[in-house]
Amino acid sequence: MSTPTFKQVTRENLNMNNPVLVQVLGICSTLAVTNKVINTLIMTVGVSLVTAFASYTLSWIRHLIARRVRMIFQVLAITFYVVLLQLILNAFAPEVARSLGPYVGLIITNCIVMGRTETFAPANPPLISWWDGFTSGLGYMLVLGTMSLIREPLAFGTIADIPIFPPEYVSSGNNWTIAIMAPSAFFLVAIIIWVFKTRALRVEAAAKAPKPATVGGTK
Amino acid sequence: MSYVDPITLLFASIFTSNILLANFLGTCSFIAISKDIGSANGLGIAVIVVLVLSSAISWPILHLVLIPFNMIYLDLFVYIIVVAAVVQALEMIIERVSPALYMSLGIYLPLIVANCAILGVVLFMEIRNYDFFQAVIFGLGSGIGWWLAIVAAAAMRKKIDKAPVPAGLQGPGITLITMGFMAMAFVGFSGILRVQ
Amino acid sequence: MKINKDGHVFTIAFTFVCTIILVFPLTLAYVGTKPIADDYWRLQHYVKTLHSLGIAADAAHPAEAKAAYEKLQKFTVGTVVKDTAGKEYVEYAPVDFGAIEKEPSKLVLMEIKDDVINKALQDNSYTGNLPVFFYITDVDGQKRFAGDFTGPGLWGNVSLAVGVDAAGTQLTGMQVLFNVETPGLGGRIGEAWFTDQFKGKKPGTGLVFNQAGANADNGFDAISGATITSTAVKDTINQRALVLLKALIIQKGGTL
Repeated sequence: MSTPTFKQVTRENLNMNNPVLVQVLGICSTLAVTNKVINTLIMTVGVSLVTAFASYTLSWIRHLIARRVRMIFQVLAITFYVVLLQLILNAFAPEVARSLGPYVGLIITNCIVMGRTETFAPANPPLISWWDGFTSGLGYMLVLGTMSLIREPLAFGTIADIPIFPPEYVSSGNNWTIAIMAPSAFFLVAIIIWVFKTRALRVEAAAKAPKPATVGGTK
Repeated sequence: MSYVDPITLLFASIFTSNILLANFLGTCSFIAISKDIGSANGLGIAVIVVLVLSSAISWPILHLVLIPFNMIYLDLFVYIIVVAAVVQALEMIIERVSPALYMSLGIYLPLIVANCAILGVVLFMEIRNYDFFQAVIFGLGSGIGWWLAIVAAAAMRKKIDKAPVPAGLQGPGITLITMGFMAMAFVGFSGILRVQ
Repeated sequence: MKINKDGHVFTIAFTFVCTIILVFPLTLAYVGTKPIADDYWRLQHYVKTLHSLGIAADAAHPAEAKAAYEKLQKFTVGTVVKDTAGKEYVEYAPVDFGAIEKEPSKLVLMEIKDDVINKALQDNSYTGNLPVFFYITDVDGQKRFAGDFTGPGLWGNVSLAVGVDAAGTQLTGMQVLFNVETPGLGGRIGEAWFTDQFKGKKPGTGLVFNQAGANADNGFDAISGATITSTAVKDTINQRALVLLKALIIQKGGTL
């Protein structure tokens, strides 16, 4: 299998093979952190960096480690980067770290991280693996960012704590409390997947449609 | 120490704070697995066993080693190794005791390591400062809650498969909407009792 | 010696060796970053304690906040003991809120210095299991009393800094020191609009939730959708903070 180019990887991870919308990975944290934009941004940047560096590390040692212990090393390497991320967040963004709580630690079991380090990294050189990990995280960020941009205004009337609806939206109790709670996240992700998949199916159907015969030879 | 009594904690972790429907943990494997009641059942029970064992083993390490020696920042390493070891041991035992079960559970067992619910439950136990008995009850309750949710979802999917779902919603889309409704139903439990 | 790379022993040994190697840089990172985190939470504690007493303070002026905090008289409930190395430390005694409510003299106070509180903050920064601390100060000739009180929330502990005036009839302020409630729901108790409500409230027999529209002297607005967390705040103030503060005032010369 030939090594994909940077451009191919970018297009794959952001669009065609988006980890959340197409591969349906990383759903857990998608639902949990998206009720505030700032939490979402910091969480997704964290996931992108962890995936990038973990992929880089695993790609770098891919010829040195026996197959049997590769799984263990993978888990340990991911844990290492997540603990590092946690320490950095605790020191430089303490309020966000406390409100994200255990979800930072749960990046270890985030299927996106595991997926990339399991499938892409062992088969490709380090630099492209780093980029693949990072763009997977960016694809994740796109979806979660969109969700939080919808959930936070509906629930709190703010975006990144900047009020965009008049204060009566929250104080009169007319805000969508359901937007903060679990069910809304499930529905919102389902709707986004629906839109995305319908578009993808349409594109696929158009590509498969028989092309009209051209007159006078090949196109 | 946390102040909740065991019965309340058990009830709460199964229903009002269901690990899957209220805390969103364990959704990935949930979406992939919940197609068939038999394997959903088997996986659910495996998760219960892994959760109880992981809580029971992690708690002493946390309170006897990590906290006294100021090494809480290494908690993630300890937990992930404990979970991986428990899953590995469980796999070996199942293979020896019931090869048929091993065949049907197949690749799902190692996936339990990547199940955020397991690690999440242990992390919650740490941050909520449970004592040993509470930690085990919480693990047991969370496992039962996850198992209930996955079996219910598998049953629902059998019905949904026969329904005319739009093409874009088939698969993960309709599963997530189903889970959304289940989550809403479980929110209704929260008025019954206080969690702590 | 041929190493069996497929054997269990190799796997286990590999796991331990790998973990130990990875732990070293993390320990360095921990030692390097913990002071930064601790400084932040300590400054927050200074500012929030001063706010609960109704004294203006601001995280943008850490030196002033620290100076004002140091002027407060501080107490806790416990005794000084010596550990095996002969070093002294404070052993905190459990507080029986019910008994103290009936018999305020049962509250046994011990005067302490800043470093004791700072150590307790550091040790409990993850679980929020703060011991009870009291602060007494003078503002414009009037005494003010405050304390750190911890109670059970929905997901973990909720620690509040609550302050009252000399007569114990009016709250001078309330701040949330620690909570791990649902972010965006219960977690909103830390926001200014929620904590500002408590300034000037007269609890009387106890705080209650405001009924629709009405704004009682002893009522406050709960957070919609976060009933359990709001109740936790109410109960911690009524059953712990106010009980202990009353006992403190009786013992330390308020105008009760």
